[in-house]
Amino acid sequence: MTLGYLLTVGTFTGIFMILTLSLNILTGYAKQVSLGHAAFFGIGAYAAAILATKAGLSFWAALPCVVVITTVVGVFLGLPSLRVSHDFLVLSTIGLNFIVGAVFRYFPFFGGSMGIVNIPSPTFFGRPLGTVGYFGLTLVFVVLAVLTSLYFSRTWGRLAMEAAGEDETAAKAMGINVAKFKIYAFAISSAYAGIAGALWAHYVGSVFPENFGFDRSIDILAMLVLGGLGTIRGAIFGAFLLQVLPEALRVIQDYRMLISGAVLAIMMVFQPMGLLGKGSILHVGFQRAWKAVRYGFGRAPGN
Amino acid sequence: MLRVEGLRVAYGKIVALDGVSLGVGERELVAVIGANGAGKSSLLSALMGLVEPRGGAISFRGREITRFPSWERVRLGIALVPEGGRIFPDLSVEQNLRLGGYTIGRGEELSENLELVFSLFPVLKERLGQRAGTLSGGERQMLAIGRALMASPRLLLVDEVSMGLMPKLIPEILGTLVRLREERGMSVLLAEQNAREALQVVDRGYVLKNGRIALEGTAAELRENAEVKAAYLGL
Repeated sequence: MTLGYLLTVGTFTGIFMILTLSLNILTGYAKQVSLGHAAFFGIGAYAAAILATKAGLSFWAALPCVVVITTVVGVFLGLPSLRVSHDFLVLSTIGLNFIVGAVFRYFPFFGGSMGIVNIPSPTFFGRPLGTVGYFGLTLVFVVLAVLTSLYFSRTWGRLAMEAAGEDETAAKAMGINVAKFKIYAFAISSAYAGIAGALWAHYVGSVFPENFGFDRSIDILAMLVLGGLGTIRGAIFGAFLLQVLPEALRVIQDYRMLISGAVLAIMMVFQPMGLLGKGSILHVGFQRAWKAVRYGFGRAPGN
Repeated sequence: MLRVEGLRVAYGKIVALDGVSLGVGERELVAVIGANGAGKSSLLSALMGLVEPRGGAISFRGREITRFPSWERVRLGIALVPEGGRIFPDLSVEQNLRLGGYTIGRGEELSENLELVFSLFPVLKERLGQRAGTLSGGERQMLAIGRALMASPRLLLVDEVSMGLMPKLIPEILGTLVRLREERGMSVLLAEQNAREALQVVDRGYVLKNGRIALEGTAAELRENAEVKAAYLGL
């Protein structure tokens, strides 16, 4: 196992961490369940690919454009969430994923099923970024996504959205502009998914419609649910687990969809809060262990 | 302070309010009495901006607010205690109260309001970190009122506060509303099925029947009215 291989796995894992973190803002914090997150990922990837190959922009010049494009698309596609209720939103995000996939596949501008290839690798001050550099770059965006999540989780937005998730009418009566926060969440979430897409496109060097299909959305959601919906640690841990495990155990690779599906189903039944979510077995266990270490065994506070 | 003219609310073809006109004055306690389905909740929802009226006009402190979104009404000084409290059960008592002060944000006014809520309902202070869903029925109602007070309202809309409460708690909760008027100069519009208790504390009242105002008068007049006696007081 070479360092280059480890860095490649690390880069892909980082890209998926950005995706789960961005989905967490939308689904974990703002309670807008999306089964079409791969669409935003794909829009980012295709935007980056087209800007690089057709417009000849460098990675750095294209990235802000990608962020703007995915944010605008996110806001636009977030608008239905103001009108439709929970279950219908889930359905419309699935529909969205298929529409975006079909556009990529059937419009020649997007390369059709041949995709877009020969996306150049980014350079840094004239020199190619290389495997190490790209891993570092991905890491920077993972950290940015974590910071954004932290910021969002500490503003009024988080509490307001949690309240709206429990009782939207009561939240409105508190003077909470529910619509505003939903749109914020869609905007931030799709911007980060777009960044993940750009990172993917420039790393892989090509984009194809099937990279951003419905199964990819399921993958991302499974990672988040496995780790723990509504927590940053859960988003990171879930992406790590479902991205690194299949690499370590090649057998799993062939059954990827099966695993993602099974993870979703099993977690929903037994640990809906995820492995590291608030109140999960592991989380409670860690808290107990931490208390035991801090206060000495058998002398937990209150005893 | 609040003026409602010919308010009409309908859900599809079902008319909930059919031209309701009423008013609430400065520092006034007003009750809207009516049976289930008379339109009380529709009235308060329309006043809060939670349903869009089909017609009529609402003005508050001299401003026409008929089409204002809810958050703007909260900013102007209207707060609602919804039917059944509708607290956020998975959030803590403290988070519920903070959300009530959402339009105020942070700072002194927020802590002042928090002190006011604690002085009215000391039990909430003890339960601050507790999940709101674990509160008793009475405590939930207190939390719902406290949450509404966090927004520093000038007019408090209270929907069926007596519903599901232990009988002995009802005068206590209604007494709190009177105290708010005396001490804070708030106006209160109270929608109540329980006419007997409501007419003990309010200044004036309206009787709502099938989406229309059937009767209006001072509390004393309504208490003595033969129809009210028969239909709502069970005398």
